[in-house]
Amino acid sequence: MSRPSRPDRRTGSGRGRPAARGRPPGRGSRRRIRLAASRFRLRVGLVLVIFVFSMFAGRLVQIQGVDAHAYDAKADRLDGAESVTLTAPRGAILDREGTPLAKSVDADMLVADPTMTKDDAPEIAAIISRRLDVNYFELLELLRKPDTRFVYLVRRVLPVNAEWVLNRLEKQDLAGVYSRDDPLRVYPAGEIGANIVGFVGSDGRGLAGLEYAFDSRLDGEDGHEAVVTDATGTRIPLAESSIEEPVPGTGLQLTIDRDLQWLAQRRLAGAVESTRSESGVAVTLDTKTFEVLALADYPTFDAGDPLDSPEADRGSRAIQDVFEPGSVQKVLTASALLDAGLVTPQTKINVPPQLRRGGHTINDWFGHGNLRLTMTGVLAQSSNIGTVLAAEEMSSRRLHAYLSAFGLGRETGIGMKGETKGLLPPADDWRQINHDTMAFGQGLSVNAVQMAAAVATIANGGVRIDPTLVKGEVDEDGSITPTDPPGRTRVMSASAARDVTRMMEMVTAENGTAPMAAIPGYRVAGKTGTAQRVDPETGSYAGGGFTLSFGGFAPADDPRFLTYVILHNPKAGGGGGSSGGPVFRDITSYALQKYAVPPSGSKPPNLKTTW
Amino acid sequence: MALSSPTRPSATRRVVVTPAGPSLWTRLDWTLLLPTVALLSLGALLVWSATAHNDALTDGDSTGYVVRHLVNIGIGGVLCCLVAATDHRWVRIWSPAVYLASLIGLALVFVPGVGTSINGSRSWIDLAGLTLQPAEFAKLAVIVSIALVVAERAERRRTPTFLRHRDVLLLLLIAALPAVLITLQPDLGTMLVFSAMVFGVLALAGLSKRWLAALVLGTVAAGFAALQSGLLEEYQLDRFAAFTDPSLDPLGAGYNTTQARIAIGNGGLFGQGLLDGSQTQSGFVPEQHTDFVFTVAGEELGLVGATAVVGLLGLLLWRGLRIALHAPDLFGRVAAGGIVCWLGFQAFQNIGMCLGIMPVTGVPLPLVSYGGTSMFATMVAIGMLLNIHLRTENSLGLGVVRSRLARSRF
Repeated sequence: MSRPSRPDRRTGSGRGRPAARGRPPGRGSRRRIRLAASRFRLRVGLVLVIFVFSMFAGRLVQIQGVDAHAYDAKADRLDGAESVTLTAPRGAILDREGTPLAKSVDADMLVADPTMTKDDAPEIAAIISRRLDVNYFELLELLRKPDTRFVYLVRRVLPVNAEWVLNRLEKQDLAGVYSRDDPLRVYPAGEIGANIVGFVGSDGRGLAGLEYAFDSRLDGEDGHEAVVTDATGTRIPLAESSIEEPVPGTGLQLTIDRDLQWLAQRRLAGAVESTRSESGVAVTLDTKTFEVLALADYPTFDAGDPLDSPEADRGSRAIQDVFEPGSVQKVLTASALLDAGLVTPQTKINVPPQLRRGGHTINDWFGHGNLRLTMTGVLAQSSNIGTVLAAEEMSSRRLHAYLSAFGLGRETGIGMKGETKGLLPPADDWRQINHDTMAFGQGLSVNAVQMAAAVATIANGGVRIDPTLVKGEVDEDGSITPTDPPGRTRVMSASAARDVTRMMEMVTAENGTAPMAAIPGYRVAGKTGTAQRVDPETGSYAGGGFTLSFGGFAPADDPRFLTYVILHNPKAGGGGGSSGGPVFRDITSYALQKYAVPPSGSKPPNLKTTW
Repeated sequence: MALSSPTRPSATRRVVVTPAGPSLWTRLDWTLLLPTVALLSLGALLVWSATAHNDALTDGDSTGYVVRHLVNIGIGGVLCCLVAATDHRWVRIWSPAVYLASLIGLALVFVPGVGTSINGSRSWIDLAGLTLQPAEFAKLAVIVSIALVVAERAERRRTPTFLRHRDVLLLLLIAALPAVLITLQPDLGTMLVFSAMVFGVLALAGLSKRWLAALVLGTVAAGFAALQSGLLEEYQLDRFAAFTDPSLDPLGAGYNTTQARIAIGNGGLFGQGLLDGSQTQSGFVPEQHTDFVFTVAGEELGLVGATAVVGLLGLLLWRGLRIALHAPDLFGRVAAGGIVCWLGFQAFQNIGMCLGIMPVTGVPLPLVSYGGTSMFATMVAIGMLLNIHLRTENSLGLGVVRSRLARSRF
């Protein structure tokens, strides 16, 4: 076989079938190609087929069994494939009736493929920066970013603006810029509840209020998608396994009544302005559930544009700021004394013009000679001296226990971050003067919700409930998971609570300290407060001004709503009754009407205030 | 050998198809027919799934492609039956005609107005609205022609037969004429299949190892020369580069490979379900009803379905090889072996490309892909296999015995 064959003359012509003619030369086989190998070669072929097809099966197992879910990860690494965040819709924040206070709406982001935009970057950047508030040069840099096919240009663009930009680009034949969903947070209620709801930052994460406190629940979990963009800029999704669907955030339903909140904010704003106060707070609680129906702060801000307002106004003073409660505290002291059986509403107290206590002189807010007041009178006239004398009956430790049970000195757990728990010094640290001043609301500090809940305990027959602001969590489909039922504690007996309520009704009577807090048709229990205020700058009472307040509830015979109004450092004159009283009256009467509370059928008591 | 057959070796060629003996029905090779029918059915389902929601392809006629595919299967089935029922002598007589016809067809693709270019290859001729791909028939024609020449040469002599070098050159010429025309189209995929097929047929024809080695070296040298001379189109080079590393250009040359693998990987164990494959139904894999039909099986029928396709093809090829082994004569053996080489390598090339172990070239998956000419040619080939098998059966069921007896002759 090593040599080429020589011509074989005997090859027959024609297509004769069995045209064998003679035998080949004996040594011819060496020079010719034998045909005998075919059987063996067929078997080789069989082995090859088996081998190749087994390889296929193995490869299939590898791709579909082993690697199946590695392909999305793999896709991420491919040049030109990008992992794109699928923004989870942020949960809405609703008022108690389901009206949104904060919600996410459709918006777009503009993204670009720099490999397509780099040559036309100046034109594209000019168009975008003309319509949207973005820096031209930053855009230029993004549009020319090397080694990538995906950049974010502008986030949270109103769809109409994104459309304008894309249309304009298309008209000028500029390719490589696309829009994608990018939900925008809006606050349809504007300033209403802004101090509670808070706001989100440019990254869509909560920065203040409930948006901040419940950020992880509201935000949901962003999904991811590995995306390849083809030559014409069309997105080419990869396999389903490369998509991680976003988990929508959970919504919050608040206990806030948007209408009441609006009214509270408006009335509070009016009061703060007219008294030329530094700031103010108004809280309305449902005294049967301790749900916060309104929580107004002033000054406040527009949640849609928080940066427009000074930082100090963007939080919730009602929860974050503490103040000395002043005379409103006297109802707590009176409650403790009555519950302990140390006094009755008729207990006679001889009130001197001044009271000297270990180097300190305690005065009343009004000058008087020797007064003979009942315990009711002490409360109705808001006599410091009378309160101090009455509180002498109770040990510091016991008074502390009562105040603590009312919720002072600890957080309400209302759900907002940055809540301050106030200051209720331990009883062991009390000196005589502390005991005395604490009885009438100085020398300790509270936040507004804390104090409102304490007074509401009296309205609720002596049972304190932890106040709530969040009613429940709202799923994507709208079903509500209520928050855990709040804790309830009996602080005082129902009869003591009833007595204190009747005593408080004298405050809004004609000759009480806050007749302007009265609501026609309803019996109203309340208490004014005028506290000396510590100047936050100097840390002393000097120059700190006053904190005026009024806390009350109605109807006194079957309490439903409590409103607590606080005005910090008013420059105009007036007391808690004249300044806070009308605010209380308007808010509470609105609530009574809105929730259709029947007017009180009974007459207010006429307790003796003097003897 | 227990059997003392009175049959003389020379009698093998004289057996005439007779209606006597077991009926045609029982003599058919059901082990060959079963995977054929199964693959055709699967193919119809897959083509349906790949085209049902591809409005860009079908102009909204969701069943248009599958109906045409079924018509093709029907025509193919008739061709298959005709070939299977034809006396093998007629097959031999028709071989040169078929060969000439394919050469003419391959030449016609270059005639303006008749030849049609799709995806950069002038591979189609358009005859009165019927689009044909002559290269598909050329494969079959080359196999049969080589088998014929080998058989003619071998059967001239009563005792040990052989091919002379000039016979080999003749065989190479038979292969070279269509090869040149296919290369000019250019159709790299068909060319690859063609080369592998010719190599297999020549190996079965009994070429010496030296010849075979020379052929391999020659092919490699030619390929290298083609690379150097720039004869290959740039996209073809890109495809090879992308084959070695799809991540080089996942949007361009590597796109097909990447999308195919993603689609198959998306299938998992049991698949997404027919008509439910997200990648398939979104049309991310190109040419999914033809060249990439295997990815539909991979995504929608999962590992189970894809393995079934592979297994059925394997069964078919194994059966084909058995038919070749037991063939009563050299023509049958070389023809059957050549058909197995062709279908086997084409299936290997196609599935390998879908699985990313072969470069992307446009060859259809036999019996499964949409495509008339390919379907007809493959069905004719199946008919040939059936024909050869029938003849083995007709020779008194002595195919095995005879082939062993005849070993010395071959």
